[in-house]
Amino acid sequence: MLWNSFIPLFASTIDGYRGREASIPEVQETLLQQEQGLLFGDLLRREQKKIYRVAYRMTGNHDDAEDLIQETVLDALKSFPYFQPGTHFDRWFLRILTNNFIDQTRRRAKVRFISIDQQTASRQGAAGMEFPDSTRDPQQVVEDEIMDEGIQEALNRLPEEFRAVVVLSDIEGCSYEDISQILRCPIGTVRSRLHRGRNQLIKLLRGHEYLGRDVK
Amino acid sequence: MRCGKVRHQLSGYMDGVLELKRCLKVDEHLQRCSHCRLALEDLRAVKRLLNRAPSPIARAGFWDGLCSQMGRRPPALSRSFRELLRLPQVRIPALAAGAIAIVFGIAVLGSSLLGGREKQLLSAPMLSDLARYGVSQPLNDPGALNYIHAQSNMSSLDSPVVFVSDNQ
Repeated sequence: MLWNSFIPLFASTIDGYRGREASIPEVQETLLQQEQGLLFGDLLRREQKKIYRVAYRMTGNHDDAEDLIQETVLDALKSFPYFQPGTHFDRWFLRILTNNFIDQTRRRAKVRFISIDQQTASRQGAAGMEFPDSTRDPQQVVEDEIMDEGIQEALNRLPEEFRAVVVLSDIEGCSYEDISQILRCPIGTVRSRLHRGRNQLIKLLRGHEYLGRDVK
Repeated sequence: MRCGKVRHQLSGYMDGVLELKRCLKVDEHLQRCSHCRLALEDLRAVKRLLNRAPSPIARAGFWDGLCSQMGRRPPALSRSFRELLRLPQVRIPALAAGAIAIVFGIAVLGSSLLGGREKQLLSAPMLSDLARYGVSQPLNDPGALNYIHAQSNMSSLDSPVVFVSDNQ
């Protein structure tokens, strides 16, 4: 806490230092950093749907998904100089996001209180769901929303490692090799976690009547 | 192949990642085991459900707000304090400032301690004695300071102490 109070002082020191002695390498460095920031923003924009989908399915709600993405963006920006252009930005970013998600979940208390008013909280705003077929009748929309809530509830009850693998495989359609790279674990581990995660989901979803049409 | 072993490989079988040899064995087992066939159907149903799940949409302005920060603020300014200290343009002035602060602190503390002791020892007769020898600021005069120390140490013996000023 004490250190943090000195940060603005030193940040202003750097500004002042740069203002007095703006050497060519320093200017180049600043320009490079700005350029990298813009490039990072462009890449993020391209993958935003996928990133949000993964973050939402892992955390289970819009507020936590936004927080997770914001934290991941800060971490990813710091590591962006090490990102190799031409490689998969989405996999690289999802690796950081998944690690952050698992760390966050482990850090938090095991018992978590969820407010009934959470859905109407201030940040909820215009966040929502995008169904593939927009021409469906309203009753179908409601049924699909209820079904999706059931799926998300079941996902939320999976251990974080299993949830991450299931989301990446069955929602994002990532291959075992991709998941292995994202999570930095052997393919055998991916296969085992996926198997166990899916079987837990079957048990959890079997109790829901409205899912009876899909899970026997 | 037994049901337990087959069940463990059903996920991989469904995803088409099993080796050919194992795949054929699972195939063979499924043809004669209805329980494992049902288990495979459950797995397919779950995968289908998740695959059809709708895409969540972020609230309006979330991505705009996030991306508008990119490229404006150099990432260097958002570095942690430890990272900042590693920069030579911060580390050297910080070390110099720290050293100056320590030296200044020691000097101030030392002078206040020394001056404070002599002030306590200095009495009215001593001041008048010193004034006779033309010493107006005894605390700044090394000879006067010696005189004050000697006078206070010898006061118990009732013997006179002769003041020898450096000015003389």
